[in-house]
Amino acid sequence: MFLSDIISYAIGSIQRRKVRKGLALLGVTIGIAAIISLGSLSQGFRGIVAMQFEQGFSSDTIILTTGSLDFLNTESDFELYVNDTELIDQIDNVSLSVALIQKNCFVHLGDEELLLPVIGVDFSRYKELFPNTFLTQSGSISDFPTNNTVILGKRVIDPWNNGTLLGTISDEINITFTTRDGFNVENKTYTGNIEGILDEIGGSTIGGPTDMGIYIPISHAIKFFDTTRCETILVKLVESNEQTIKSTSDSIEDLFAGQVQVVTPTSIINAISEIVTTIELFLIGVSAISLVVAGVGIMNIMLTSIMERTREIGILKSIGMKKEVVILIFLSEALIIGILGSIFGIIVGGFLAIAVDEFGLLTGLASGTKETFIGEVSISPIFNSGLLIGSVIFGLIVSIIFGLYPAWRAAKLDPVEALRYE
Amino acid sequence: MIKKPKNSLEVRIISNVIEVQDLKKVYSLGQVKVNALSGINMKVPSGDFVAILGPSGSGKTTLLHSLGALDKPTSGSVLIFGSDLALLNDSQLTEFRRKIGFVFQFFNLIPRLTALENVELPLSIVRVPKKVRRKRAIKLLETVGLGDRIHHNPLELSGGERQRVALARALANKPDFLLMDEPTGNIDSKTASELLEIITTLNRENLVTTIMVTHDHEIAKYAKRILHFKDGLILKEEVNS
Ligand SMILES: Nc1ncnc2c1ncn2[C@@H]1O[C@H](COP(=O)(O)OP(=O)(O)O)[C@@H](O)[C@H]1O
Ligand SMILES: [Mg+2]
Repeated sequence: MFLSDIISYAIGSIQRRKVRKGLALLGVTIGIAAIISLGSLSQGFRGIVAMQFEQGFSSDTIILTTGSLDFLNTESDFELYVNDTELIDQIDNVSLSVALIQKNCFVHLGDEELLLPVIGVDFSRYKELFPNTFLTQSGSISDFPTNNTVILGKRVIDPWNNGTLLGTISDEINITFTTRDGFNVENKTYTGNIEGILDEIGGSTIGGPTDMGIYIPISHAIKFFDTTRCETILVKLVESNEQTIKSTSDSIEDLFAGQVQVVTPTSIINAISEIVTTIELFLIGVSAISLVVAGVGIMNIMLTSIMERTREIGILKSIGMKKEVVILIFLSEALIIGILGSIFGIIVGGFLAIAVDEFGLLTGLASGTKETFIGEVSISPIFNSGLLIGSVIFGLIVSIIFGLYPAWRAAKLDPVEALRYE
Repeated sequence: MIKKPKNSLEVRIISNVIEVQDLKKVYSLGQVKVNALSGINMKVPSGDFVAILGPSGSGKTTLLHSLGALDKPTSGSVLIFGSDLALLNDSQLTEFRRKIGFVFQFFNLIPRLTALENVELPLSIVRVPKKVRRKRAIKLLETVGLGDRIHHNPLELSGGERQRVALARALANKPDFLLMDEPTGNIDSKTASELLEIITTLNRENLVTTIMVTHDHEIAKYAKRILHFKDGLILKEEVNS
């Protein structure tokens, strides 16, 4: 039999049992759609994370922190101080270091009161470290700020991203910091003066400027927060080769007796990659299982269909159809279901992923990262050819494997027995 | 063509299309053994038209399945053009079936295919190109008087018409011989005689060797010879005038 005849014969019998074969097809569609949507979203997530780090962070910058970089924050008792930068600056290959004091404060701006991170930083050094993102769209960043100088991230002044501004340059802003001493809760407030509003940044990076950030001079932060402790010190190196990064990180770790975490951009990306990969594998694994279930569905339907068509198989064999051709006919039925299911699955999965992005169904997850060093992310699906081809191939393999047994059962039927079958 | 014996030393003159030697078939149902065929000997020369006449349960279908390379006997042999079917493997048996035209009592058409597609099926199995097989199938359907019904489904056809489609299908691959298992068993007598007219014409004019099983004396009379069959044995042979 010609292959084209085999295929059209198979199509003919699929059309005869539309509902049942449709259900088998639906199973495959769901499996593939799950793989495509979850896969593309997690790839999108990976892409965004990687992109943000590459944008915001040059690879010659390393980060010092006492906190842990895990999502589960385990605090260390060890403390970093603002003037540690003086020690760090003396280490070989260090070109510049910047200490960050960061506290969450209630900020009164216009008619709104918001809880936002207030970051004390040396403006001129910070500018040198982030020349592309610590940039104002209006006002300016003075190298010699006064005590009440305040620089705002774009989203602070325009929180709903719709042009409704809470204030403008030279407006006043009240910053309230709450401390606690035993049962004694104390609010300290000062009134700052908005001197600059940053350009929109989009994402954020560890230690880097963010759209939600409020920046005040480090000298004032020390006074206002009444501390010289800092959470993070950013260190810029003279060059970015692996060797320099390694030896400098080692020297810094030695300086603090191994009590601080020295984080390099690559190590962050690697750590995140690892997490994303784990999530990705888990999601793809789950959807793969659903596809295997779909395969079992195909097998079930094919076996039922073979029972019903026993007589037909007897006829085909009695008029001289070879075993191999019988196998091919039933296998192509399973395969057609697999192919159609994969095509529909790609379409449905694609739409699903895009819908999740469009309707912001993942903003919960995305803003869940807001408080972490990753910053706020928005996830758009990425459809790469590997994912598409891989899922289709997997869909086909599943339908072949689960179609093979029924096809073999059909082919080995004895013609006389089959013809006798009622 | 059906394969001739390969061994050239085996010098034998083959004059018979079918030769059956001491054919036995025993069905075992647990402890009980049913002797469906108890030693059949028969020869069918080319161009013959044989009726096998016997009551229900006498083993006629079992014999026909053995002749049609569909079923394996318990002992004895079926020689077709001198080759013993018992010596053939599965795929060789399949090849053999392609040159045997089988007409079943219950038509055994594929219900979702049209008359035309049913007749085309054996041709497409042996890879006859689409155009050629379509032409041939139409011609066969015209021969059996169904030229105006080619696009009908079996379910839209009467019993007699279905059996004629089955006959056209059996003839599709220009078979070496025709096997018919109670072809008139499920159609009325008027339609039955019409069908038999077609078959006798084919036998007379196209020299199609035909073996027909029936339990109906009237139908058996159309054949050149009648083999009287009972309990898996041929009792006697009767030659029609
Ligand atoms: N597959 C089978 N298993 C057991 N017994 C069978 C089978 N096929 C046929 N028989 C028995 O063999 C005998 C002959 O059957 P069959 O050849 O169908 O007779 P006929 O076609 O003359 O009516 C019957 O007794 C029948 O019950
Ligand atoms: Mg019978």
